[in-house]
Amino acid sequence: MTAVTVREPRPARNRSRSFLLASRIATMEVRHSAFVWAIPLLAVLFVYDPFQAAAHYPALWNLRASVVPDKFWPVCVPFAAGFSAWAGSREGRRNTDDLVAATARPAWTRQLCSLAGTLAWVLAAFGTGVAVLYVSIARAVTWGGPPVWPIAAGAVSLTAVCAFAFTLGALFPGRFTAPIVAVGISVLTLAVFSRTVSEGGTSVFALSLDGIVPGNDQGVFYPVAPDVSIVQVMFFAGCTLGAIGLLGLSPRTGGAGWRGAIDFASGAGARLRVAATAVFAAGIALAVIGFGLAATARMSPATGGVEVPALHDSASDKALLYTPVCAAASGGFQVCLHPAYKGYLSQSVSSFGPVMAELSGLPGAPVRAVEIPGLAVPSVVQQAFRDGIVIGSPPVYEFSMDGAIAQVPDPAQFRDGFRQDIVHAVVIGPVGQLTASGVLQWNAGTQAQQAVEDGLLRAIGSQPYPACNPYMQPCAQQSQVTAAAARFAALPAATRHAWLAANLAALKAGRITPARIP
Amino acid sequence: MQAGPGVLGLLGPNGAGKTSLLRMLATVLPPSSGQIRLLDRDPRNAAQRREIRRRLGYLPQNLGYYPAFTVVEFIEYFALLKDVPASRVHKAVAVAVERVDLGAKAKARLRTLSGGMLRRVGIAQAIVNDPDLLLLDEPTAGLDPEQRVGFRALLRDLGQAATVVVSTHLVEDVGAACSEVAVLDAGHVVFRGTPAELASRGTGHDVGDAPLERGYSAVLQAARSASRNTCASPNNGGVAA
Repeated sequence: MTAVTVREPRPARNRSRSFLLASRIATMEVRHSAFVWAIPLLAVLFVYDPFQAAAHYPALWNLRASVVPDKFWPVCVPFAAGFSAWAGSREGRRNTDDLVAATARPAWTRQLCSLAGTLAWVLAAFGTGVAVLYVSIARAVTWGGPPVWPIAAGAVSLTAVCAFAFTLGALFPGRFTAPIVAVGISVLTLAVFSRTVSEGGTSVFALSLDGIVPGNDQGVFYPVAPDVSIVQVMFFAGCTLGAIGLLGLSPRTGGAGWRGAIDFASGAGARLRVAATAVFAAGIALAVIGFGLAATARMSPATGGVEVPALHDSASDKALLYTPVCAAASGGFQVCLHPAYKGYLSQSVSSFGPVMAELSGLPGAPVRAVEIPGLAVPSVVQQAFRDGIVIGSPPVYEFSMDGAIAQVPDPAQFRDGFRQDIVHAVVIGPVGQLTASGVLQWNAGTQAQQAVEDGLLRAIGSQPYPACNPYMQPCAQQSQVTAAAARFAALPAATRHAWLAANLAALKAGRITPARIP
Repeated sequence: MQAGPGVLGLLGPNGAGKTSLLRMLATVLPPSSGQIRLLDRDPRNAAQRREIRRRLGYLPQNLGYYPAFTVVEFIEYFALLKDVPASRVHKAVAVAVERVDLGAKAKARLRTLSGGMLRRVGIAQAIVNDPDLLLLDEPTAGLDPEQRVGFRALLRDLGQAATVVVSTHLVEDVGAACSEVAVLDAGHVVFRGTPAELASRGTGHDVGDAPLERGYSAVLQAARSASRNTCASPNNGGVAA
């Protein structure tokens, strides 16, 4: 048994040299990643869905930025999964197993470099999309700052998708692996995680990046708690480490193998096996903790957001300080909005203007309108899908923008929604009331009240409430209301105002019949 | 079986175990029995196995490659995987490319190369780390006669300092480039000697067109008739290179 030593062994490697070599391999992998071919299609899909969707949302940071996890992330997932699996299966597909197995660098390092090549492109594409989106949002919004946590959660979850798909590709190499993994992971993310906490009660649906659109108050009146994002980062970071650890352990991928089952082909030794085992175990532990925490997620009654009790800092529930922006409508009626809605101030003022010309000076008519958080509007009002209530002395019309901003793409609906709400609040009162048994009952008002309400709305050129409504009178009984409303709308404005000034109290008390309406 | 600096040719029929032996020497396949010691190191030990691999060059029978890589990138990739110091990688790649006469195609993508050129790329990646142990499985398959002549000269040159083990079906390659030859049959070494000694075994044997072919046929025939007449004992021997 003689071994021939031809020359002295080379000097031992050091860590910095090893890192330098690995970084050069990773750079080479970046240059050759097939993901680059997907970028044009990804860009088209990005503009087609997430970007356009954001542009149609109200110009609020939190709402528009929600397209990152809600729409952009699901677009990225199949590409990230497919191309990562493709990269992972490369050695098997290209029949280079023997060639690379005979090299000095451990399989784990080699494969992590390959994964890094695809991951770099995936994160670059994701980051670029987010940057484009955020720049466009920054140019449109009037208040607040960009939410950062959803970006972190998105980046970490895409890393997890890449790592998981790459490992699957390495374990089951084949030309069909990539499409199968892409479809499989997409279905998994869309079907299983595409649920929100509010839909699923309390559950792991808090792990879902997709499908969560924050409440309107979030990030406007109240800060957005990072609880859910932290849980998502924990869970997906755990999944990433688990997949990477598995890659380092599996003899099938040239990894270290479990103790006693070391693959001879592996360049790995005990230290690498210990490292891979530790990474795998840490990943699983982190994912389990994240999963467990997600199961405790709940809707916060204080802020309307989602909180995870173990992570939640109640100090972060304090309402955000702001200075309202105000403008006066005709007749000195003042409208005040949160500065985040400054862009809608003139639209709001012009919506309130004509209706306040009809209502101002009437007993109980508000002297100004103030936007308040949706959560602050009484639940009987909220649940009836109306957002305003007149309270205080002097009377103030308090309303939320929740309903109005849903109508932003349609200026007429936005305008009519404002007018219907305030007329209802002044002429009829709160739109809902709880019965003795605790059931919410729609307060449609009497037929005379409906007729006056509709007449006023018609007089100022707005749509009245729908004639047939499950909450209101049956259609058969609407003819009297319609006729009275038409009469009332046809009156001169001064006559109408004078009649209301004299009869509004009796009308609200239910003592006026449609026949008595002039 | 033991080998030192020089070129050792492995001959044998299909299924004789040449590729399996090379894969074991390349530390890709664990031996089912026996022991292997390479470059004074035990490949069963992870640290020693890694040191062996740093000083190992291997060209498998079926060369896999990455079509999008250029010639230089592919060889550089393997130089990095073989822990060639970063400062020496560029020079090592350039030398390897020139040694296989692919300088004109250095920037060409592998998908554009012919089979013979790909074989030369495979040889270049095997020698890029200036290996002390070079294992070549059918290296001349796909090469044209002129390239084969050039490759034999390269083999002789490499064999000056390194232990080169070449598996081939082409006895003329063995005669021209190998200082030693081993004939394998059914997993056993049935002949070990110089090409001249192998050729001399063919004296009086009429199967084959050249002396080496006749020697090869005679050795195989003798080994097979011996195995028919005796009960073969299990081979628990070892290999050292």
